[in-house]
Amino acid sequence: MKKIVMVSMILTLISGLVFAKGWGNKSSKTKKNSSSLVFGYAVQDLGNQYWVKAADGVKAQCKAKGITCMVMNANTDPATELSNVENMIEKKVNAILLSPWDSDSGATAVKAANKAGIPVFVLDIGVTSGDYVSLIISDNKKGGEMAGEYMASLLPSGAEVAHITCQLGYVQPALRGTGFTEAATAAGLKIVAKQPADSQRAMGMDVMQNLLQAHPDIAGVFCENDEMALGAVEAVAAAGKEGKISIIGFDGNDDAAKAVQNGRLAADVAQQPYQMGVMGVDAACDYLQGKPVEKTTFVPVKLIKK
Amino acid sequence: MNNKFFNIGSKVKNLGALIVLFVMLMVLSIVSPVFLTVSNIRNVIVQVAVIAVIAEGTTFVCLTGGIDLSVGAVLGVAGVLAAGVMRNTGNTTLAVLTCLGVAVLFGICSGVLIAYGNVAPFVSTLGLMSIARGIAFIYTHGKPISNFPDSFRFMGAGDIGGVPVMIYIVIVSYAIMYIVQQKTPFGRITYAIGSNEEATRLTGIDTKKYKVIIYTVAGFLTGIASLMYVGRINSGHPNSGTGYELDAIAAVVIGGTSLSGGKGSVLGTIVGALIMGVIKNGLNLLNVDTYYQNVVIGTVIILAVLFDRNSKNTNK
Amino acid sequence: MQKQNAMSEQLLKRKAVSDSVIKKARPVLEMRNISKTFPGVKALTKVSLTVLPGEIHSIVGENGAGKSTLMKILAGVYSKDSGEIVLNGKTVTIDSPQTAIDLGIGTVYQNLDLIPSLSVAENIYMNQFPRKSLLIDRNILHKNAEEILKLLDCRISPAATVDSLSVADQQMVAIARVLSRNISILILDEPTSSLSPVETQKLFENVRRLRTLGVATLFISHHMDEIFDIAEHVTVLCDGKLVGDWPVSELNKNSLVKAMVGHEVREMFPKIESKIGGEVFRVEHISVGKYVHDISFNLRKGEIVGLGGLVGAGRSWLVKSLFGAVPGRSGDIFIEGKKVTISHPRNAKKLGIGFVPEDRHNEGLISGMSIEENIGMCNLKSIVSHGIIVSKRENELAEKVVNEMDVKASSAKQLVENLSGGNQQKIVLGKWFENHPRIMIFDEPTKGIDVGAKSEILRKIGNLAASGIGVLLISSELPELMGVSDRIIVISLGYKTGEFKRTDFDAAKIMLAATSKE
Repeated sequence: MKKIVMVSMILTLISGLVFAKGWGNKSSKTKKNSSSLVFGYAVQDLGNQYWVKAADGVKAQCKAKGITCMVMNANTDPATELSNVENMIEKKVNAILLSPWDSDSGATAVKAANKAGIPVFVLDIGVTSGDYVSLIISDNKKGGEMAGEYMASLLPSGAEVAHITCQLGYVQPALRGTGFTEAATAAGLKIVAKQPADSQRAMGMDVMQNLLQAHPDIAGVFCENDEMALGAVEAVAAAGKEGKISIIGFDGNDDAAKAVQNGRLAADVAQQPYQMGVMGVDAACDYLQGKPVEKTTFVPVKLIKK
Repeated sequence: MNNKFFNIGSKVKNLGALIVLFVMLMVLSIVSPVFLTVSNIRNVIVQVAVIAVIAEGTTFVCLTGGIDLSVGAVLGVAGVLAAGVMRNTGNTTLAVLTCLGVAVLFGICSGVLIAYGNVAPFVSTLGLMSIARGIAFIYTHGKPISNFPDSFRFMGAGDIGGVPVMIYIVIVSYAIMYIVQQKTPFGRITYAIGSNEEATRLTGIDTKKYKVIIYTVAGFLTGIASLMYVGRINSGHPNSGTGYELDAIAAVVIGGTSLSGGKGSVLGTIVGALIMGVIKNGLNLLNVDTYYQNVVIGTVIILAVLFDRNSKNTNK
Repeated sequence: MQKQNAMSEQLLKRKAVSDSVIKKARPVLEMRNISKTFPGVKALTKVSLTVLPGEIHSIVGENGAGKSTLMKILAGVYSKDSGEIVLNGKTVTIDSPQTAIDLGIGTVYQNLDLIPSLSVAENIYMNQFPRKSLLIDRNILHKNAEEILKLLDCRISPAATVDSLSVADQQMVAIARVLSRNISILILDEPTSSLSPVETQKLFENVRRLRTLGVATLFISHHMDEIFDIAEHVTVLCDGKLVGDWPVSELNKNSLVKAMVGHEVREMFPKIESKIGGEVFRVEHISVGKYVHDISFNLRKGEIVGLGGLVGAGRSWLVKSLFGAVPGRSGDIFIEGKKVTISHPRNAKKLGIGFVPEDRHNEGLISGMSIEENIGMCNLKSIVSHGIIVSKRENELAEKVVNEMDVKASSAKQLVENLSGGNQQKIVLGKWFENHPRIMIFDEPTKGIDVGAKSEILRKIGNLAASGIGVLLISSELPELMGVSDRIIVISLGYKTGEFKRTDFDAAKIMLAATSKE
């Protein structure tokens, strides 16, 4: 007797959820009159605010255009990411948007989509191989340039500045560095040091401390991401040089925005993940309508100052 | 006869789980037209394959009343070390042996700590989990090692006659493990140790030695799972397998194996793994958020344990 | 709160009641036509029991007769399938142990169920602590505990922790605990199996004392002498049915045993003729930690050497160390003249030694498994072919053992936990016999087993010896030991204090050696 009760409970629970969603889907299907497009967005980690904003952008733009949108979270596991893409292929979505955990495992997912003939649009990160229609990514180089120009405007000509980079080999952040270097040098700043801090806040702090030792006359620092910048801020404060060194970060995360507000960061180049999501959907729509789409679609970045 | 039923019931307690799986399949096929297609079902099995193979080893461990929390991390470290060997030497055989060897080594360490060191399984395997994960990150500096030749990817991405190799591995390994559990002295001793270790020891069986072997077998299976994983995503990630140990335990528990040992079988575990896979796949197809999936799976686990305890009490 | 304190006070306030009043009273308990079936076993078929207030009533029967089941139904642990229970003239339903105790039925089980780390007073008043607003009132707790212990003429301190007490004293605490609940019926399940003769007498004194307070005692026991010593009335069960009930004065030992087993048991402790051969086993200067000190003896083929002594003398440690089951042994072991190394039961088994441990449930059998699986575990080599267990062979082996040992079971696939104690023990013995051992060690093989099965097992052990095997037998029942052994070695406090040949057996001398403190 009790066995039956237990089994029924499990079945009721699962059936309930499934039916609820299932009927929900069915009813929304009957509402549509236009050709119902379905997009799938496989995102690496909805536990990260950045990706949540990107997903919000995707969902909003899809809704505005009357497209059904499926967002699947990989929860930092590349295997789950691959499974998600396979499920989207199974559902015969019209386009797949992908923000992979890393560019190598992302390639595998892209190839699976290629095999099924579904167009792929990569949002940020990039993939090392596989056919995608467009990479929608922040204009990292432009952002770096903006940072370089702004720093030059704050400092006298010939001032010494440092450049803290992300892990060696990471392509996109390196573009930020290139942009900064070009703009800063052109504006007359002297870059006296360039060190990686592996995108980590703690390491950023350590590296900054070492740089202050080696180059006591530094007037400014550009960090290729916000975490390292926030680490540099702490190192500067600990050395008692708060307010004397201009620090610029990159990403636009909430902590950095606050730091700019209270003057600890001179400025922050903010990415716009929401905008990236919107542009991703637009690119996919354009492609499906036969319009030409750029291989790389740049999402503008904003310079946040106080 | 009453007694025969209880005997079967005590070893292969997946009757309830099988019913659940069946009904889920039927309901999902009605509600989602793409669910019951050959390619989707194939996807489901492929998607659970890695966890299913790990869970085989976990079944053995749980049958002795133990637990293994290190399998996820071992999957990771074995995978990245194999990936590294592959990248540095280009020798597939060496890389495969590295993967299996590392996993087996961790299994032996678990077994020895638990059987001879008398450290509780929870604690031993928790410690080894941290160590394994740490080694994986140290070796790779946090960066993945990717892009392997097809020979190395065979177990994860290859196929024979159109059917993914992973599916063959699942079927063959489960068949072997089922026979080992039910028909070999080794399997029988596993059940006996879980039921009453002292009485088993007093019949002249070296229970400590067998415990080490059991954890080593679980390690070997984790090594196989690791090769499948790395082959599938074509990348050795220090992070891989995070949380897989809990998924494996969930599959084992849903399948009816008791965590206190002595009762259950791998048959239940594959049903448990399939139930989890079907839930994830089905809810995915229906565009239900991942976090709802977690709630459902968590609830199923709890109900499965309650059901298990209930049927134990029906003896009175 | 006040009500709880009042309950034990009520008991203490009871005045002694005279015999004549008791005899004319209406029964305090009637169990009428109680039936109970477990999967595969009809435990009780229309059993009836009548108990007068304050009566000392013994329930006897072979194992599997249903005594435990009947008492557990009364104690609220099991539920009856049919029949009725009438308490003081009113029909009651006992659906849980809590209900039973609320109705005034208290039970003390063999395993006592006390919490070792807590104090005597806390154990007695568990669940009904006297309170001072929200906190436990320790003064009243101790005072009440003292009063109840005084009732039992027990001088233990209420503050002592239970695990520091002897088994006999712990039993007092367990009895005190049920007494604190103002009971009218006390159930004692095999209370004397771990007690020395002196402690047993003390228990009986208390039972008689309770009688005068109007508390009836129901006890399950196998010991003939004790029944005739303490009980006034006896109810006999056999195979789940009521054989009959009589005042003890109308019975003698033989007629009682005959009622229990349905036939006359000629010899309680049979001695089988056996030819004694050369030395098969010799141990020299065996010591194990603080438990065993420098013991040496030998054992010959076909011989039964009994190891006598008091409970706790160290005999179990001795034999377990010889079997390789406990570490820390020093000394030498010789089998058929050759020195051997035994560090694990595996070694012992390979050398041809078999061991039947004292604790059937935790050490003798794997309770979650069936009869044939248990036998199979001990005989893996003979049922395995090409690495696979052959079910047919396993089953055949099990059937053979079941037949040879006369085990009452529905099939070899039955779970061992569903068998009666005696049948379980037969399986523990039987699984070793198939190994063709040279030496068999038995640790209290007939403990907790009824008379009928006892003599069967002793007979089997005797046959074993007759076939040329050397037998080491631990028993705390002197008559049993003297009945079957060829030689008796006495152990006291870990030392060997005496060795007696069969022709020199003298109960007094053996007892003296067992209690010697040298």
